[in-house]
Amino acid sequence: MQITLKTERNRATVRLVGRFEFSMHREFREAVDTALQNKDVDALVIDLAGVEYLDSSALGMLLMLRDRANTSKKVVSLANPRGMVKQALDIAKFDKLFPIV
Amino acid sequence: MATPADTPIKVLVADDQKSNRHILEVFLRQEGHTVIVASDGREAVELHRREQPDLVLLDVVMPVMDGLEAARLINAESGEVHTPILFLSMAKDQRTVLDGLELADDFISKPINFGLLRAKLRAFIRLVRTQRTLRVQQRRIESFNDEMRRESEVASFILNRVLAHTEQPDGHSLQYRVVPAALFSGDVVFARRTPSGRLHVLLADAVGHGLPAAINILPLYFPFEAMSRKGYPISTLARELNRRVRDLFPRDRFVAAILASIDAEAGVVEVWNGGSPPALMVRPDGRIAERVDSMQMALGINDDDPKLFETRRVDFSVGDQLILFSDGIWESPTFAGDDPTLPVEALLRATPPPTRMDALVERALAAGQFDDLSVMVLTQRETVTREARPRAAQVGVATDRLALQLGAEALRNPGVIDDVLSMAGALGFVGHFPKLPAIFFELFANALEHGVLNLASGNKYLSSEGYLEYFAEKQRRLDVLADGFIAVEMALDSIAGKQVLRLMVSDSGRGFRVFDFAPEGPADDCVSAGHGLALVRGMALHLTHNKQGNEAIALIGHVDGGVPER
Repeated sequence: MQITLKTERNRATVRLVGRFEFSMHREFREAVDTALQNKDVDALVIDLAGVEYLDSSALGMLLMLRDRANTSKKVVSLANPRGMVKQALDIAKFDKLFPIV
Repeated sequence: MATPADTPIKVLVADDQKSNRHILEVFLRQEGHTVIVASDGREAVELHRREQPDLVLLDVVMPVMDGLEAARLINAESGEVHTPILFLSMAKDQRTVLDGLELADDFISKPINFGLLRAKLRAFIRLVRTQRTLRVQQRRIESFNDEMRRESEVASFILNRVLAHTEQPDGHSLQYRVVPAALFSGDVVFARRTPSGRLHVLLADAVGHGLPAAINILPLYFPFEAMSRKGYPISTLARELNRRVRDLFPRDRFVAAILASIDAEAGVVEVWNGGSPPALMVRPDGRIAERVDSMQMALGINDDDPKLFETRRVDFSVGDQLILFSDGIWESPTFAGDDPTLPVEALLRATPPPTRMDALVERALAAGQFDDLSVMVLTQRETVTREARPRAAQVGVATDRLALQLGAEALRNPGVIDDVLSMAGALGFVGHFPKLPAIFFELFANALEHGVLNLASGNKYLSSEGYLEYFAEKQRRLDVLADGFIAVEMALDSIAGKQVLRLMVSDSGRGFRVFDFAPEGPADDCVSAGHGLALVRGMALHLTHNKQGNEAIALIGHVDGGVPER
């Protein structure tokens, strides 16, 4: 799994590639921490285009991210889920919590 | 890092030459080590045993026992912790030393070059230190393992106790399997009958797997049990479970769950699906007739809003199967794809109903196991009749009321009277109404023998043979009893301001003619039939029967309430 963070003006994009699961905990947190601490950023996009698998602990990480983003008044959206990842988000009904684009 | 000389060690020196011993002892003490000396091989072996030195310097040629033999014995006694041995030998003995090197770790020739000895000591000290560290770490790991094992044992005891309570309600109508990926399962299935005969089932899957996931599941059990037993609808139950998980656990430890309430008699299933793969309603031919997809987020994430816990109703006809599973099945590489429904349906169509559950599990496992995995299959049986249903006691409890329906199975249990009375005792009824046990015993016996079992008490009291015959017949009829029930209700009531207990015992029998059997009058007038009822009349404030004779109501006085006017 690779994680890259790209920031353009007010928008930070965290791009994930590979399997999004518990072993990614630390790296994911580091990447989003950087984005959350950036005062210029008000929108966080988690780009899932390159993610082939996502487990329940990844869903948990997204939930925690959303809580923390809310407290710093930033909006988190999920972008480009496909295949199994899209199914997992559908089943979890995460469209109730995140804009999915 | 400390230099080797910083680690003082205990050295055993064995040499038969006093001067050699002395030189070595002085040298080693100057280096900061502790020294013990032996003058022959046997003494060396004894000292090694007693003092457990870190290093042994052994002269090869010694009287009594030579160095080679001593080395052999020391090695044999060292056991788990190897004591390094350094041979000291004259140049001419070196052939012997070469032969003996497998017994020792190194050798140094005499006369001793102390510069070389110091260098070799340094290497041995490093070895000793590594050994000590390893020993400490090993002990730490062992105690850590022990602790883990103890904790695991406790946890698995608790979890197994909980899981053991899952009911196997009606023969083959409920099948389930849980296959954990680790020692503990984060997947769990519960089933419990409600007082009205519906079956509540829960299939839950906590985030992750192993012990943390299993702990996440535990708090679901008690509300599921208690609320099902009291007959709450699953919408209320789902809302309560969501609240529990939300209150107890961090945000990212949620529990995906499907709750279903099966009303076999009405042929309807009610489903709530929160974050789980779809519940499938499968026809006998394997066709998926309906799927109930995830409606809401998993337990622990949803707001406490009743609208989020509304259920969906699905028809459940004879031969249909309701199949629930966790994502361990749905996401297994065998089924995963754009629509896992297709491979799952293909499998169901190709498999006869009774083996579908195992087929699903095995096919999912064929690609390896990555997650806990669970399946539940409920099959609508051929016929469901109200009489056949009360297999075990069905209970409704409130603090002022206890209502039970005892089916054939419960009635066969010889301890059923005690069970009921202990429930009544738990509510304080026995303490407040001390005559309850005796009255209940009589009314229950009456309902069972003359009602459900339809025994005529005719010659019961005429002879001891008659008595025995009566009880043998009672047992025979009990053994083959297929349906029939006794309903019991105890409720607090008041008469003329005094607290009383109203006890109602009714049965599925045809009833008996109360007045033929139980003539009014004092208890000692009744010598045979009706004996029990007369006894009750003597103890209760009041006793009435319905016209048919299969329902008795007794009013029982409070221990310190006095007897109110009739």
